[in-house]
Amino acid sequence: MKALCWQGKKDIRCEEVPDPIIEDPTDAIIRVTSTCICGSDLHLMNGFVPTMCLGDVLGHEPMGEVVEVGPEAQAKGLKVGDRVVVPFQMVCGECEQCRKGNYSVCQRTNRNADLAKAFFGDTTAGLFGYSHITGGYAGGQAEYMRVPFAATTVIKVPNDGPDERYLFLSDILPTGWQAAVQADIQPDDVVAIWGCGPVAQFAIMAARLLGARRVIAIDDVPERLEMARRQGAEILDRSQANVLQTLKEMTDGHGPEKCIDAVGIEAHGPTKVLELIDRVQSALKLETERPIALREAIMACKAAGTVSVPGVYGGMSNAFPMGALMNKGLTLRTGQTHVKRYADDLLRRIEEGEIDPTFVVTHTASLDRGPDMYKTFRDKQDGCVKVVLKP
Amino acid sequence: MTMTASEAPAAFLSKAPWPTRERLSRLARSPSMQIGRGKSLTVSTDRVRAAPAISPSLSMNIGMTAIGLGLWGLLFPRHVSRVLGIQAPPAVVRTLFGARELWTGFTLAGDPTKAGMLWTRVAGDIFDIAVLRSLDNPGNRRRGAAKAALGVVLAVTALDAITAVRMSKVDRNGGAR
Repeated sequence: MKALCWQGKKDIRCEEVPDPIIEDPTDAIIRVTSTCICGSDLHLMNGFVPTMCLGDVLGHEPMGEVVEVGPEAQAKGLKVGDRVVVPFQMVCGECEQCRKGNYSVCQRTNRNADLAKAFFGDTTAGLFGYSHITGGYAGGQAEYMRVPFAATTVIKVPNDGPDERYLFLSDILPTGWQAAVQADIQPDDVVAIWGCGPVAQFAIMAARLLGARRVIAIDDVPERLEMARRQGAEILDRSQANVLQTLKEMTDGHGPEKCIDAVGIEAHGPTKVLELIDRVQSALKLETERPIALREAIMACKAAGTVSVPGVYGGMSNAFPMGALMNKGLTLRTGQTHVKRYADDLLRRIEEGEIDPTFVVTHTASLDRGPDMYKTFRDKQDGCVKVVLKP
Repeated sequence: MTMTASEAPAAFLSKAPWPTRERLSRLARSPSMQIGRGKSLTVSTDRVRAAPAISPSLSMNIGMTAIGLGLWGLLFPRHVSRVLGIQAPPAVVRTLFGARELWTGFTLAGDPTKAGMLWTRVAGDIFDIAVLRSLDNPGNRRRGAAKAALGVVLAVTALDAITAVRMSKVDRNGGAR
């Protein structure tokens, strides 16, 4: 079958790989009908995430049809023909963390848990197509994929409606939702969101649905700012204004109560010189990321506020404003998204028409055009916000 | 069970520590990763994966090596001249060797897929070969070093050219347009 494979820094290729087979009784094989390129795939593409191996199959936002089921998955109710969304993480549903609803740190699904413990101090869940530190599992930018722990992992969705209606339950919709939930939004709150990519668009939507008084979206890409504006956010074009100063002016001098960093590891700015300092430190392995948006969010946040971080980070950051975080009494909340915690509620909201996630899709292409679409998405060409691939 | 004479060579070959396709495949599926302090872990990986491509890693390593050479040329141009017997001002060595190597090195280390930059390196290699050929004369007291450098540059040129050809031919979209 065909799949999008990582063959080194900035080198994604559509290649022939072996077909997946049932390897464990909990497995299911999914025929992928739609799959997306995520912003965090760009971090993999650009070599920011360690423990990738040449030939790894990418992709963690797929959905499709169940075509083969292992006996244990079948006993738990999964059957051939089911239409399912595959969350980016696999969950056992039985470990201590799963029982608490902390699905993204499931203790049983990461087969390279020792590697994760060496890097992070404890294990994460197994993730699809997301390096060996999260299990080394093949991803979903492929014609077929194997889903371990299938019965407890997948989200069954109705057979009617286009894929795009449900597809984003795999990652970015619950990720934007969790970002707003973790910000603990109150009716009087002003919420500032760094980045206007797909996750941020859903965070804007979630913040408004959860009752934020005002939402301020920060970016420098015109079409993304316009998309945010259409959702009811006030926009702050960072290419035209000093972000910290402008936020103070927009919020009576104290800053927004809630700040969301939806940018993560590869942020730009605030000036060319400061960005260059981070780039040089990254090149010299003195830090592994450019936490520019996170620094700004902490500095901008009103005292006693909350900073929520759905943006992906992978290693060590320098010049982290710990003093501001501590002295302003900020709450910092982050983590990979516990998809299953929010899936039922979000699916209900989609079915009732409260949420229509399809607005983020700007590009649809066949799987073999995936490598080109990675570049289009990375370079924000052609107004690209979200790419859906059709294997 | 006894082994016939015709089966013996096959049995020997199957037991010999050759890097067979299956062994290489198994090795690729069980990579060993450094976790710091000299420790490493053998990790699990998926059987659903593409055969690893060599050219991107070669391109990246060429870039990293070029950065090293570039720093040598940029920071120590007199040393470069002394080693090879070059009769040129340091500014010329800095520009034509140090800065050139740094430029191609940073470009390839930043994006190893840039086949055009690999071809630029091949052009630079040809320039280096011409310079080193001119240094291979009886009047150069460092003629031996120049000859050795010429051999190295010829090998590097071959590597640059092979990598450039391979990276230029990659069809990332599997034939789709």
